Amino acid sequence: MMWYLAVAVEAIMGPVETAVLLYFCLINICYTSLLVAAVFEMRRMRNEAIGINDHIVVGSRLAPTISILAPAYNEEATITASVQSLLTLDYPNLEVVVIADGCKDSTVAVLTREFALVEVYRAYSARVPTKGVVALYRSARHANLVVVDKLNGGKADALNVGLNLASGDLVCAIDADTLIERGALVRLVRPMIIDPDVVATGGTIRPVNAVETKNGRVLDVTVPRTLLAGVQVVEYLRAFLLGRLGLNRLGGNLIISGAFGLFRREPMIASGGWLHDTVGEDMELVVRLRRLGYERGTASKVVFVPDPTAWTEVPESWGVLGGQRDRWHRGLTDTLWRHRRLIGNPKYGAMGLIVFPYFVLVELLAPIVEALGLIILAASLAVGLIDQTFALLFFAVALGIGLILSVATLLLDQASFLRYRRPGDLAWLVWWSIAENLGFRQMTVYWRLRGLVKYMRGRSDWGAMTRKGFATTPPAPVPAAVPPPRAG
Amino acid sequence: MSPDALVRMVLFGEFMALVIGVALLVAHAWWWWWYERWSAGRLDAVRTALREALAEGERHLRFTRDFVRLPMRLQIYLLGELAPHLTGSERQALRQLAHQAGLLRKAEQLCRSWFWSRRLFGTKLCALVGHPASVVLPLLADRNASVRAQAVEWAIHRPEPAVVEVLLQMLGDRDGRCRFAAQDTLVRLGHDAIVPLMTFIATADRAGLLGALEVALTMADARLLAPARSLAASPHADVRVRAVLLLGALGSQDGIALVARALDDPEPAVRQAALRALSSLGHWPAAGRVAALLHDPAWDVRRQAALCLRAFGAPGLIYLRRLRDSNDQVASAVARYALDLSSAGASA
Repeated sequence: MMWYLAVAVEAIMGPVETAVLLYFCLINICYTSLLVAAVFEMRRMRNEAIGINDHIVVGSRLAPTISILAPAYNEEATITASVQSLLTLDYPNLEVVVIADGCKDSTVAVLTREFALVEVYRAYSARVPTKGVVALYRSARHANLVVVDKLNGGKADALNVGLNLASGDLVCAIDADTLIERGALVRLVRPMIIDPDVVATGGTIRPVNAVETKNGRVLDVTVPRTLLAGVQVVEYLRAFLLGRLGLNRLGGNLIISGAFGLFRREPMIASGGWLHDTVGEDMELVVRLRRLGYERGTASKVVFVPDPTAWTEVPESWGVLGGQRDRWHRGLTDTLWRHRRLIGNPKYGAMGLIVFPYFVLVELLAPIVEALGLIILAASLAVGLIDQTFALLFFAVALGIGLILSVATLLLDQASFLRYRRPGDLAWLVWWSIAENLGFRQMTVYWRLRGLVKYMRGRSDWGAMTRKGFATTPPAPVPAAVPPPRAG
Repeated sequence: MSPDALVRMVLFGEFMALVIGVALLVAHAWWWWWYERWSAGRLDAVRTALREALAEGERHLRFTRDFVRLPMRLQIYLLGELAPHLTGSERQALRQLAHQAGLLRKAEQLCRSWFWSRRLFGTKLCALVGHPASVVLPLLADRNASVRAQAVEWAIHRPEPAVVEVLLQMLGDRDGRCRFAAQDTLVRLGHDAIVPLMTFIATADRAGLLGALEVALTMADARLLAPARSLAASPHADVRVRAVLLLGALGSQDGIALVARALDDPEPAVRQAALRALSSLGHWPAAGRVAALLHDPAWDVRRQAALCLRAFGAPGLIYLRRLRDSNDQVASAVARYALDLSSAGASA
């Protein structure tokens, strides 16, 4: 019986094994190319930063106007600190639009109290269709603050309302719980000033867990000591400094993080804004903007800028993290499927020929092949098709490549930005680079596969995200919202 | 070679790469830790001595011998810290200091390098210490855009006609950062750039003209009234928009008449610009014509008209209250919005 099983397994496994091995080589060639490209790109960008100094943009009356769109859903714990930090960003022409997306808590009341909001009549041009606006507020204290209370419609809908209300040349989409560094906007806008063909730019996102903050500002950066947050620090660094920076040079990015991205307003409105019926609205928008740019002959470049940083809270429970990763993979699958005609299409330049195939082969299929590889390994070991020592060595080689990429990314980050200054923090980062391979990585494969299955079944829920908030003291109790005085 | 041996070899290679990577990481961290401690004390001492020496003038530069002994990296760091805040004799003293430290000679060498990144660094150094035009002026026409943009920063302290002329030509540069840097520098040069700007506006192509009008709008000098008047009738809408806004910033009887005429322009962007111009002028006698634009086909024009009436104060508010009850729903909505803003004391 065992002999028959072994023959059957060998007959099936032979070609599959070869395919998995080839894929293993392909994926690592891709990652190595990204790393090399990222090193060159980092050097180019740092030189470019010398060419146009931050203090010139900050002090210039000619800098393009930026409207920050901050959608908020039940963010009463963090909203005051977030809005305060947004209002004090180093940028000369700034407007902040906070969109309360049908909040069930006292987010709007907190904003009304803290920023002296007054209700004004809801007169705006709905160039992008959205759900209804309940109330529109302006601040009597901050001329550049707009708050809109709307019916719940999800993040995409909230951002579209913000897009309709924004008056800036550029719009910066962020999450309301994201902390943006003071000088980040000046650096993010740089590619837009340099090249009119750039339609969107994105900055680096780093986990804020374990980072000391005060009044919406980052005071001291430390590496989290808990597994999930610590591993995600390394993971985010690799995704941004290796993946996105490398893609800048190899044909441009397809993703701008929803937590911190800058877009030209007019092309955004012309493209219809963020889509409602997808869970991957950030990526879908970027792909659509680039695609329309190619088709209409308008701006189509998307640039990742490594030095502007936004800090966001990452999940610290397996359940929430799993939900997030599952949703990300559903979003990726959905976007790639919607725009499938781009794959290998020379009409779309490097995006069609390099970037899109990379996303399909490496980002989309990776969990399937990785899971397949693990199953084959287990099955082959069970029926004695491969030598145990060889299997173990091969597994170590695969882990080693991942580790080298992580350490190389840490080096790139340290040499360029020196965020983590304590030797102890570096030791933790190296440890998290090792630890992520011992269970975490395998769990992400499972979550991504689950996302694929859910996508096939047509599931489009977002899952829940619980937040601790940045404030160290609990928010003061909020009195019931009082309707603002109306014009006679 | 057997697969097993191959895998072992790869694994050994990986292990070595990892060891080197981690060693580099640790070495970098350790070096920075040491370097920051080492440089902090020296920098503080030199910073204090330098501040005192600059306050006293050139004859006290002997106190800055510590500066000359610093590594070049730290010298440049200190210059970058101080230079943007210094002008006149203090800046001259800083230049003398850079000369003593050999930084001027170094900057000159870097500016002539074949590598653009070195030229860029040299130009930055020149911008910090204010190197003579003979070295930096050619870099304003460098083949690399970063170098050109950086050279523009040097020009902020050089209001000479030749420099201003090059800056004006850069308003039509193909690279956005050069255009931006040139515009910003011209604005900062102010008075010295006005007359050449007027001459440039009269002869520039469209790309250069748009950039020049943005500079003119930010400067808002009365001498720019004549070109603004003539360009208000330009066949290009984007030029008319900027010309009308410039007229709004400058005022004058015939300027206001031209702005009021632009309320009937076929292009919505020009009508909107005219409304913004009238808002900034506070020209309330135009309230009746502005109120009519609350029924304009373009949404942005309607909204701007309501905000313009609000800016006129009492005469505008009367119109807004009337329009609040209008049968035109959009006119009524934007009127209510503007009235709400007024009663709440909020800004638009």
